[in-house]
Amino acid sequence: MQAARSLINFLRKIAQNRFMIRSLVVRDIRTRYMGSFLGIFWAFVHPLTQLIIFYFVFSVVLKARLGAQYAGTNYAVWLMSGMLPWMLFSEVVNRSPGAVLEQANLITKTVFPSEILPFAHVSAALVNHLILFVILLGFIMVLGPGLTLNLLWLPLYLFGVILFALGLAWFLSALNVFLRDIGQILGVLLNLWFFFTPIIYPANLVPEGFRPFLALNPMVYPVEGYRMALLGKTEPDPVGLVILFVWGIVAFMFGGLVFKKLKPAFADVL
Amino acid sequence: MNAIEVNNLTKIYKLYSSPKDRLKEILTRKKHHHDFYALNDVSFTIEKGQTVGIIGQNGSGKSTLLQIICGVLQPTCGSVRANGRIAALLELGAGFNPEFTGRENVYMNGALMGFSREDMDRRFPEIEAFAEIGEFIDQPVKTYSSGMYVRLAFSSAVNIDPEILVVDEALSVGDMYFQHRCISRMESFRAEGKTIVLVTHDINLVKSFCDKAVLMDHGRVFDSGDPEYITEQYMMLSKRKQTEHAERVFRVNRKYPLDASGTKIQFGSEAGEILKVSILNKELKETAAVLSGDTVVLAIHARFDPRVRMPKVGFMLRDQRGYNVYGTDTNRLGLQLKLDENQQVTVFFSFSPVLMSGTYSFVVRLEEFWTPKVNMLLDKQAGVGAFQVIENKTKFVGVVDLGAQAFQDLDYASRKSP
Repeated sequence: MQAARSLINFLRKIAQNRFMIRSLVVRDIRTRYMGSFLGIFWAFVHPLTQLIIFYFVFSVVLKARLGAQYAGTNYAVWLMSGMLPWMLFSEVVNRSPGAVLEQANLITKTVFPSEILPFAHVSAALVNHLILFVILLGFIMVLGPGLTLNLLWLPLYLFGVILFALGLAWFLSALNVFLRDIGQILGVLLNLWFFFTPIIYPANLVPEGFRPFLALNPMVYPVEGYRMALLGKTEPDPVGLVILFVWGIVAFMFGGLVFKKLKPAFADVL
Repeated sequence: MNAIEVNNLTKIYKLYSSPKDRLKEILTRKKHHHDFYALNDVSFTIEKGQTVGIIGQNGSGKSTLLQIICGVLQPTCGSVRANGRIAALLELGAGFNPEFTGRENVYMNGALMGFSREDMDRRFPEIEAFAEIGEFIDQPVKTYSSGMYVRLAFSSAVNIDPEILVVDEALSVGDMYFQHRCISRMESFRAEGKTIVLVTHDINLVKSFCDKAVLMDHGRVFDSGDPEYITEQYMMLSKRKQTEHAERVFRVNRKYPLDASGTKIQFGSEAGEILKVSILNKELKETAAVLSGDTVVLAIHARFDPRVRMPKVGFMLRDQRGYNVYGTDTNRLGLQLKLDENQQVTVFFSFSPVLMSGTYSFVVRLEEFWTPKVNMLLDKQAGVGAFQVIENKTKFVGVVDLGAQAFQDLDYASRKSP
């Protein structure tokens, strides 16, 4: 109930500031890519290089097997479907420590709705996400296995990841105003988190004893969920989706609360 | 009806010696900071339609006060009630994002004020025209000169129909032409019955433009009311601070004699020191402002060592830019100094500064006369006894009123001048 109300409040805030958010996102994408010769192309060089590296190491050199459930699936396609939600998540979280700090000028000189800043990052990441998604769909059509009705589950997982990422981003961006070490710690943590999530390896290769820990990792569910929705080889997992949503709502509420509590002091510290 | 009500406003900054202390305090709940009162129990009201100038020295809390009025900072205690939409020009250049173009920033500022894109489309031509920054409107704001920056900021602030306009010291960046246009824009703004709050160091602007002035000192309201009177208070306050500073420097000098440090230029020696410099008006009361042409008395209180045989006291009057206007000393004026039993003396110089309006100050020197060309400097203070000259009739331009007369009959002129 409380969650629904705060979500509605937040959506209203977004609607009020849609022009501001759009400017922030457009500017964000433009400053990152427009000055360079290859432009927006750079947005995909980095993720694609990562894919090629993992593909080479695991599929070509180590000849890793994906296991029976993904039999016949191209490793690159499989890898990319799992990478997609992670990239969205890590882009938002990775940039969150700077979200408030970078706009110090606006915050100390205007009455600025700073809670939209992490959301602007989410929106910018969504644009990247969408383009990568279209590229992946192309691969799936060409390299197989082709699309199924499972794809209808995908928006739910996407929404869950957004809630979770936004909540964390609020928490981290507000905290980093006061404790500027967060940016440093975060890089290390995200790297660990990436390798402890079954993204470049299939979850069923994880030894039995580690499985319970795996279940505690909220990012397992969207990674598995995306694969289910895109590859159509596994069965939908409603319990996993619910767990993701619980994590998402808790993060959204907690992050939102911390942000709200700390926001009045931003201008004092910046 | 009040446009702004400020009630018992206090803003305390917690000062930590390091960021670690901040964390320690959060974790252990022990006090690791000391309090700094940026504002201390500030109360005043601004009526609708009033133009109010807030003056005070650097660090007196003016900017903090404005930031709280605008809602950017939260007060520690107390409250601010503002009736009506506020447009603010805080310090240099409002809330511009340096990466965005001028156009984008104007639209974003508009959006922050609750204007839709269409509203802003309608207002934009006017904003662009007033700012006069030409093709730079589509360049990132970081490429702007400070003048362009403040022109755009001012233009976008006044052209979105605020009911209260808050301007913090920003206009001084613009050139004369722009400042003039700003003032006339603010005048028409005032004529519409809107409220203006202005922070400035420009005493003349406060006197000529404001209905009310508030003088801040050390986070408190020192006094408020009639601009003429309050600006006078402000000048007295500045002057007092100046003397305190001079005294402080002076005391240091006595501890470290002339050539001790070698890094700083220091004056003052055992052989003589200036004890006090004050400016008196013709009623022989201390003053900070005189009318051009009125008599002023410069009083210099000094002490000489008994070994100094021919003591000499002199002064130089300087204008704001540091140009020497006029100077003399007791020797030139033929005054033999007689010291009292404490080896002290007070010298009065009276003169009439027939000068242009502005701030003037003195360089005071104590010397021992050796030969007409060679004097031994015993002590010197620069920038003391600052006072304001007010020239109302504006019969002349320049620095000194030489009392020119205009006529067409040359015979009359030759008879008149000796």
